[in-house]
Amino acid sequence: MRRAIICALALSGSGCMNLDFVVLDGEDVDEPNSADAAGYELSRDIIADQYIEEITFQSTDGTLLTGVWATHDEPKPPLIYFHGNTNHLGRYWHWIELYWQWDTHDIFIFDYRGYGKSEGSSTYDIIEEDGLAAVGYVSDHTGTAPEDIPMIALSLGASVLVHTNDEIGAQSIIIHDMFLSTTASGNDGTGLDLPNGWLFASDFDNGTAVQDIQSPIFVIHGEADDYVQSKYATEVYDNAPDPKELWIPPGINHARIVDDIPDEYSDRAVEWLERWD
Amino acid sequence: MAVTSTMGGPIVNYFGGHKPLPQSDIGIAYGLNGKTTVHTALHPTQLALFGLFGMDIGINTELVEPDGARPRVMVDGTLYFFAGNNAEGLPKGGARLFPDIQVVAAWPVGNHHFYTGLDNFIQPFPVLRWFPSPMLGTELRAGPVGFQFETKWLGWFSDTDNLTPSWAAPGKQGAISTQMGINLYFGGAQ
Repeated sequence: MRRAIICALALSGSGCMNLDFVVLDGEDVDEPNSADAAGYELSRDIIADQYIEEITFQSTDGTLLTGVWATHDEPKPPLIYFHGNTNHLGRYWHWIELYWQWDTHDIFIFDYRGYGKSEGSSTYDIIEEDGLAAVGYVSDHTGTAPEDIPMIALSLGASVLVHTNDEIGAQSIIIHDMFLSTTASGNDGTGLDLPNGWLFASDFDNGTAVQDIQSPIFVIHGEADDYVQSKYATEVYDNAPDPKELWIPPGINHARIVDDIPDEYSDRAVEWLERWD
Repeated sequence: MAVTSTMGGPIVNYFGGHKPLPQSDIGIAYGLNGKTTVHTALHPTQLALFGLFGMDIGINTELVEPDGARPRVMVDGTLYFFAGNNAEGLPKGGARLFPDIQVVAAWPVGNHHFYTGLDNFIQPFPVLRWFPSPMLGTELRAGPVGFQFETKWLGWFSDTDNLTPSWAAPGKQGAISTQMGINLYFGGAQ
């Protein structure tokens, strides 16, 4: 006959432990988890071996990061992909395969620190630096100004991208399934309005950061997202400066758009990219 | 007087499967008379895992005596206090108070009790929220030791589908909570 305890409070707190690991779920390929027990072995089924090149580059503090190019016979303009919070770039290779088949860009994907073969360990502030470093690397490597490079991002990668794009431009950006902030996610998840510092060590305040982006933005969020609620997309879209576009495809779960409606997605994404090319 | 302890909480998907959150409290209860008890407890799991200080203080009293099939009816008022992360910078921590009121009907069977009731957890600020939760439980006595099992349906009116974390509940409404407790009584049953 004792008292009830509300659900959120066991997750609350800071100092000894926080829930940033929910957002920053990097996996070292030497210690693969059940989500991808083999680490990453990039498929050659769609992109042949001669078009795949793994490289390393330095982040702003010298940490060595790993990236992969998917190129074509003739060089094409670069496109940078910022992947989501799970595992490593191998988990997102099918997104790269789709983009590669557009035959419009050479695609660059990279692992943030603490992900895949990249060194270090992830924190929110640091992976922002990795986003800036990746743009810098691609710009230097291809001789293309950042303002001429389109960028696409998923979930955590979208957070990195909007925090990158408020400092350095892009030709245009497409973000998928981005959360608004850890405050919003924490409150939704617990049903309470707890101090965010109880739950997380980082704000991940994407809703504010998107107000300061420098580039045209296409906000895409699957309506049936059961990981990051699609209602956030509307607020992200409302906060973003013009020019901007919003698409909430019905019935699409988190990070599933490439799997479920690749043709429709490709049509809309390519049209968006061409609009700013 | 009794030393009380509970372990468990809402069932949620973490670390690879659905399981109760490892909430805990340990405290004391003191009977003022045959009908009214005051109690207080600390919440060590929150402190150990997250650096969050938590405690509660409360009082319960008997409103209706049991008589045959008529249950004992009791009301409990408890105030929870949690505070943590007062470090500079974002994200900010802070302190919160959460009042909780329970109304319980309990049927004694020998030395054991079976009970049902309604728990009302309240967030008074920054936004007023109220979580009425039906509950079922029992305390099985073995001498001075009581073994308690309790389940609650937290916030059954709230759609918890498409939420992270993933709570376990019928129809993805609210969250089911399970707790077990051990109570050690001194000086007679309370």
